[in-house]
Amino acid sequence: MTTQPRPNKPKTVPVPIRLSEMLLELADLHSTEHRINRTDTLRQWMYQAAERYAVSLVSEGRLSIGKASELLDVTYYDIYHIAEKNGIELGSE
Amino acid sequence: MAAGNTLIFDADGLIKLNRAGILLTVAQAYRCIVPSEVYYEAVTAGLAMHHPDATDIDAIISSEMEIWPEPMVTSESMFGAGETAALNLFHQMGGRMANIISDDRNFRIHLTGIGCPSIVPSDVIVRMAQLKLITKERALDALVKLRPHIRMSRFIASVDGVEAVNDHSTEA
Repeated sequence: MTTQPRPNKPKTVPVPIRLSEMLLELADLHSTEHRINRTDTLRQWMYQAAERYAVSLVSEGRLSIGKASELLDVTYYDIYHIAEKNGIELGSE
Repeated sequence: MAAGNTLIFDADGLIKLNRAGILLTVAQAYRCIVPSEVYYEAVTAGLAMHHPDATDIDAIISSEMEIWPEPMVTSESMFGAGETAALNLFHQMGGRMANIISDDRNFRIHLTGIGCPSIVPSDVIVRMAQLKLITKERALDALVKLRPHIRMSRFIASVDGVEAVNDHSTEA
């Protein structure tokens, strides 16, 4: 069985944001510890927060799993994993 | 949901019934239709990321289910492409004798709101036990396997539903 190819990866756009120096200091600590640059640290933190937020919306019935997986660019299986990792229950009441 | 009814799957329904170890039995008892977008989400994308469930689901779909080849759905709706495709299929079928099987809370709220019949995987298990398509023991085993993927309240209600089934059931 073959299906139509999915659209390419979502486009990325630069977003200028102002952050506190203290947060950046913390980000730098994390970057050094994990041997990644500051941008990757901030991106990682934001993505992890977005994952938790999206899955909490799924849990509350405010977003479907399919839509959440598209917005996060992950699979259905990943949504279940994120929920489990964060102790969030999914499914109907 | 009577025997002989049609089940339209979204990826959530496929994955959860497979994890409950009962997807093949469901596919053999009911007419099961999988929109191609749902196939993509549960199988193609799953295989690409090496999720072991995807291989099992692929084998069951290939042998026992129908794939509905809907054109590519652009997911500009409030739902994902597979959910949208399942809903489109329901409307195309005229809704007769068909249930959408999904445990997605948001999607089911919408389905209920528009009067579209839907059923959650745990209720499919209970219903199959009531219809004696599976034994109580098998149904309880499936619910235990499903437990990590459903709410505790739903699990307890489903176990109660199976426990209430007459003890003299025999698997068909």
